[in-house]
Amino acid sequence: MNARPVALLLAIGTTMLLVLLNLFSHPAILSDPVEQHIFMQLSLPVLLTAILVGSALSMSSATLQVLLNNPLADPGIIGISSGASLSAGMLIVGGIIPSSALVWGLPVACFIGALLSSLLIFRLAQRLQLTHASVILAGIAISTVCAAALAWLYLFGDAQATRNLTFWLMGSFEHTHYPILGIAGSALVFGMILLVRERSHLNALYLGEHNAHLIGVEPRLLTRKLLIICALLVGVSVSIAGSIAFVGLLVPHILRRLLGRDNRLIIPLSGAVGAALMVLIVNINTALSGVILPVSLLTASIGGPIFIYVLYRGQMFATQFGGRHGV
Amino acid sequence: MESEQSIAQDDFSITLNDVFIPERLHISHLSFSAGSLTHLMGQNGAGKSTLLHVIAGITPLLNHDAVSFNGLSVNAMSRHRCLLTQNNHNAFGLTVGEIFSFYTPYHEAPWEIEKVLEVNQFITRDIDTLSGGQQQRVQLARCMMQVWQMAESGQAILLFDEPFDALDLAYQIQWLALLHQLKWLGNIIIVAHHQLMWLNECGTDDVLILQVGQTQLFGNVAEQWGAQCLIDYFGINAAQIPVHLR
Repeated sequence: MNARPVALLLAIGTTMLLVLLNLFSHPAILSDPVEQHIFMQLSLPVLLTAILVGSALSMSSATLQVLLNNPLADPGIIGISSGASLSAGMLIVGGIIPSSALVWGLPVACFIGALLSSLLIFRLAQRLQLTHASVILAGIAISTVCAAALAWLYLFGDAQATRNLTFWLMGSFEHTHYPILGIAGSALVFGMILLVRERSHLNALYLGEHNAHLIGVEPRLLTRKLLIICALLVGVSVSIAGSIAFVGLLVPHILRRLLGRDNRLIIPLSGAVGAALMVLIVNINTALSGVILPVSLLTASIGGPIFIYVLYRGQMFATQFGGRHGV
Repeated sequence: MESEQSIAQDDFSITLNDVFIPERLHISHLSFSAGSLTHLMGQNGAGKSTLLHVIAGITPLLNHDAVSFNGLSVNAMSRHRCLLTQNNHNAFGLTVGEIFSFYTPYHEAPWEIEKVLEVNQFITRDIDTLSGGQQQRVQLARCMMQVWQMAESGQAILLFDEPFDALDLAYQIQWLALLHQLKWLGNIIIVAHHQLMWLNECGTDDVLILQVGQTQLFGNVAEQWGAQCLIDYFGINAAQIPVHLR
């Protein structure tokens, strides 16, 4: 039986359901024009950001994990998000461009930052032939350095500059508005379409570059293309929602465990499930009315323990240590 | 994705001219014709793997027309040519069935391969949970399945790097018999290995001996191979030669 369309529809359905749930928090939305205005101006941008960022981060993570041959790779953990945050911080605090130009300046700067840090981690992994654990450690080092640099930047810069430090380090869906969403949203949708188109080639990379080449997939070209798309998705996501950790680790990992490793399914489904998860977090924030929690606080609260559990079971490093995988 | 290009039976061959990779391989001319099985031998670091990678087209060469395959493009080649490499690890715990479906047109081994390698029983197993020999059988099957459609009509190039590693003797015998069937069908087969004993059983095959990246001997096993080769090319004293290889 083909589980693909079923799983995909299920995940998209869940997202829609969660969006509807959010609508019900505005009881008079159908009749009251004030409620409608509030929904259009405040809630809808938040929901759109959550959907876009959730799917972009999950899809790019699922891809990066195959590219780095490392199921632990997550843009938040291996320093790609913080690279983007740092370059955004430099743009804002440095006052290089007028704040009116930040609408497009931020996504571009974040893309460049993400691209630089992903190239760095990829080269490290490839050239130094690092083991899985040390790729993650190198990423954590890059991430820490970027976060520290960003914090210093804010210490010396104007602390109130456009967005605060918590936003860049922990993420939030509450800082978007339609103009930046228009630019960033188109870039994200574009990147995700490109990723979905390349998803079947990704299966050829599981057994390394040589085996990909042997079945007619040019591995270096593909890797380069996919790295740039991932950096675009992560960078632009950071520009509208800050650094959000663990989504990219959580979603593809659970999906692979449940449904296998076929990227033709995993890539689009990661997008749908990532969106659902982020909308769920928006709903939690709505339900807590009054307190807006940083997104990473919630994702890390769920993702952190699972990360530790997976490490404890030794499943992710099983190949390396010759241990046994779970089913 | 792939073109319908195929090889005309009569001029099916691989020719290498002036292949030069500094400090690894230096071959002025080498040609493999249809319906041949070549045992690629040589000491560690002699350039066996490098030569196989060059023939497979996955090692970039400065001289682009150094290796010719009747003008096939890389995409079309993936239907004609397979190579078993020495490192096939993955970090994701892929099942045997997933490896087959990602790398071959099949979801399980066709009957002729299954009969010899008995791998379909592992379809739902994570490959890392299999023993070394079982993994090697899976990789051998995967590799042959990639080009099986072409191999059945004698239009495939099958390259293997150390295929006998960890393989039980019974499987070595059966698999070698399958290779000989494929050879009679017209395929080009090159096997790099260290199992000298097989040469005594395979008199009609060819042997190619490499030393520091250069061809030392290439020809019919029955005519060219003998105990003297062990002394000349493998650094063995006459007194050290094991009885069964004399």
